[in-house]
Amino acid sequence: MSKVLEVINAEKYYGEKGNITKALNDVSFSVEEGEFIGIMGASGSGKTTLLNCISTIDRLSAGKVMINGVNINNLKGKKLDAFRRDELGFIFQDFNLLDTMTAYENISLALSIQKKKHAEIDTKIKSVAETLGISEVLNKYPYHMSGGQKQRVAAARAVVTEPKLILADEPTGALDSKSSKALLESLDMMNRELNSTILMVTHDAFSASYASRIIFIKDGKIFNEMIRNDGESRKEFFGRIIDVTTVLGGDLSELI
Amino acid sequence: MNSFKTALRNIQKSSKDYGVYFFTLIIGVAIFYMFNSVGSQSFMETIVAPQSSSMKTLVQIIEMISVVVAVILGLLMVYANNFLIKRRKKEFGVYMMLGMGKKKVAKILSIETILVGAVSLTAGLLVGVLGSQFLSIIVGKMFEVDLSAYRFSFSVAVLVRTVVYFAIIFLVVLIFNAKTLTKYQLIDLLNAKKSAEKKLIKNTKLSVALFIVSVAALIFCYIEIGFRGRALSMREFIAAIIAGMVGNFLFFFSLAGFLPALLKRFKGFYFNKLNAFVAAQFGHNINSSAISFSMISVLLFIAICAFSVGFSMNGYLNNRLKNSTPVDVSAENVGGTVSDLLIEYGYEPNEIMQEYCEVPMYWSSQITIASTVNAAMDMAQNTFPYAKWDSFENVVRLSDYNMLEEMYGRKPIVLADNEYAEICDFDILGDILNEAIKRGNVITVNNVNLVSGYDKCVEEYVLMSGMTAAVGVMVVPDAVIDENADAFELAGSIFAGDYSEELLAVTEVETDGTEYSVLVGDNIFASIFDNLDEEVYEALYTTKTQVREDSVGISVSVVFIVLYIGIVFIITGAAVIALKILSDSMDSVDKYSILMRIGADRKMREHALFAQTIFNFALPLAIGFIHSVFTLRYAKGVLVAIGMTRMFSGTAVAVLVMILVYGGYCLLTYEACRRVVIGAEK
Repeated sequence: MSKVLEVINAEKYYGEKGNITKALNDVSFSVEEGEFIGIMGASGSGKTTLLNCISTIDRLSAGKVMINGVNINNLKGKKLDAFRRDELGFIFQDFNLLDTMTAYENISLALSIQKKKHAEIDTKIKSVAETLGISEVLNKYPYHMSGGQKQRVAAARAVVTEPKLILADEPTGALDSKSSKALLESLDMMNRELNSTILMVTHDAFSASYASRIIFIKDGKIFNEMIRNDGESRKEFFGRIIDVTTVLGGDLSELI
Repeated sequence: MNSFKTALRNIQKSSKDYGVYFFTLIIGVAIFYMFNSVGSQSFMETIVAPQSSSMKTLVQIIEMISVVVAVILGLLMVYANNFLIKRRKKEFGVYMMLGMGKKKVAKILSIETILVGAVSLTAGLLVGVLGSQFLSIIVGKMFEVDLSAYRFSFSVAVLVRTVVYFAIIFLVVLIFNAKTLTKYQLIDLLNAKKSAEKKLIKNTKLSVALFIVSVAALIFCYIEIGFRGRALSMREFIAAIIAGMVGNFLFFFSLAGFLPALLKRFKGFYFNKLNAFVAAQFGHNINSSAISFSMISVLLFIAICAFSVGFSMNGYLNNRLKNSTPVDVSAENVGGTVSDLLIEYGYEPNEIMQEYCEVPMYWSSQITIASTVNAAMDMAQNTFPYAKWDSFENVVRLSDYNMLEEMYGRKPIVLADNEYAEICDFDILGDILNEAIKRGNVITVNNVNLVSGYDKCVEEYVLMSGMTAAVGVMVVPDAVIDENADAFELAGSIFAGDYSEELLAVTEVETDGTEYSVLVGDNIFASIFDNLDEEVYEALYTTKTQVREDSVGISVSVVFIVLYIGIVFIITGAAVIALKILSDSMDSVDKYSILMRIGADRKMREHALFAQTIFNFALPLAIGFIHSVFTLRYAKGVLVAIGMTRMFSGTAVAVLVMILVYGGYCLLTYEACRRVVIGAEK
């Protein structure tokens, strides 16, 4: 399997000379195609900075982010826009759907930006809606949908362009536990059935338990990594996550 | 001093947000100064005498309109300030959280308002002074006036008035700002960014039905006014206008639901790049502001009509002046001929006139005013119950009158031996004369019967006149007078001609030092005719100068007033749209950042924003334009009927002014939006 994402010695500083805060301090890891990675950390740990640097919204101070073999630090202007459009999909905590448009139109936008033909757009939307179980809400506006439906529409928008990497930023943050579970199962299905590579940032152990591998970040550094073993149930994995965070002592409270 | 510094820094920081505000204020002040200073501009003197009544009326009307304009601009400023406060809610919230009292925040805001006001007032006055030069060139061109003698003029009185009016406006703005600010709770200010999702009316079927109703109402109104127009009764006319107004509102009201539904049918277009987004946003915009859109389209409609008519007046006027002032002076006297009068006062007609003709007028006891309208006496007495019907009609010989026709450069009158012609350019009397002629009116002198040689009275002036309302004369074949000499007596004459060259312009200097030129000939006629004994003589005279003053004065006034109102309406409409778009754009920052994240490149996002801006500006303009096309069709009919030909020659200038002002707003708004929306992204 090829490496979709490689983060090599990533560093990000804020502030000026003599008063520097290291938001990311020598972070390195890689993600294989078809993986579902969770990144856990307390607020201020640097996980959002990391996500922003991977998603091309922010730039590293030092180090490299390679996505599908391309160093995104070297991309600028149109190439950067095109890269974001073709290689990345986003899911945000607060859904970020356009409230003036129906679910169908929201999803279509991701495709029409890629200048796809409308017939192709239609087929793709219908098939992704089927997979994620949102066929019946396609013609609704966001304010007529539940939080879970909105987030699944957002997930459909992220996956419909078949990006190399889907970045999810606290996707369950604004959902109740039932909707959270439904969404996470959708992500899991996207990962298994559509073979999407997903990188999810979260501080919630339950959400993280859906991932196949978890990277823990603290004070800008990776301090632990957990892999879900073959045949291990999600429940067992969840238990291990809790154990690890408990073993780490006071760190649990910081994680949550 | 601390608040002053803060205020100054705030202005520098948000100077770009102030763009539309500055632009509106500067144009507002400039327009206000330009039009108010019209009365004191020396170029006007070459068109209209400074002391003439039409000039005084113009200045008075402009002063009255200026009060209305000041109120409109004041409201606009309050609106604009609300927008600016909304934009900066969070900033004020932070000030207050840091322990700054509301009073102190209000003080900073007041200092900002005063500073911005002072700067834009100064800039506006500068633009206004320069603009009045520009205005003078336009007016000069419009009225074919030589402006070589025109000097720079600056009116302190108008300057003071402008400053006072705008000081009052700023004061009102200050009060409103303080009120707005105290109304807010700290939590509102800090949470300013989160705006609730508005519920949209999205019943497409209802929208389509309403849209069809609105278009039908508009088409009904257009056909009634544009094509039937003057044939309409008052009730039908009002019905058409109400249909138009309702249609106009429903159009914008239903378009929000109708337009996206329509566009969705064109899948290839709708699902292309960000088109679906633009359509949805635009639908949302119209929906949330259907009322302001429909009002703005009416404002623009009025402005377009005003401009087209205003800028076309010059064509009419120049044409009319050429036709109505063929000679330097024309005069009429009863109780002695005009040349007798001139000689009596020591002026030999041959000496003072380079060329002239004199038409003797005869009276006959057998031809009274009554006999000219005898066949329609019922109608005549209804219209003029107190007229002296037994007074004598002025009768002239055909050959004499045709000499006058030649002098005036008109076609000669042609009559058979038993025919007469009635010359009249007074519409109300003309209608009665026409009716009498239609009913076969017969004039009898010593057994000679005369019938009208024309199927109606000849509509032309006998004396040059700014306003066409002089009573006419009767033309009869020479033989009728010559062969019935006993029935006629010489009553007076009509006189017309050009002054000899030595009686042309001289320059006189007024006591205050301003120079103006007068014609010596005008002075001679004035000195004789203005002092005649009215008991003995019935004398009238009109000079080219007078006619110019009268008719030019009226037309120039109409042009100025119409332009003033037109420009203010355009500014108001454009500024309201601009502020609306800007305030919406703050809410759509999030939307554009979503677009960025899902991969719309910068160019695509800029295009979408530009399309949104353009549509918002273009829609009310387009609708206003369509309204005006049909209304101007009607107006053209009316104006041609009252003698205005060559209409709408000035439409090109009107369009240019519209594009400059309106387009300026559009671009400024786009730039400001781009800064807010796309500039806000990382």
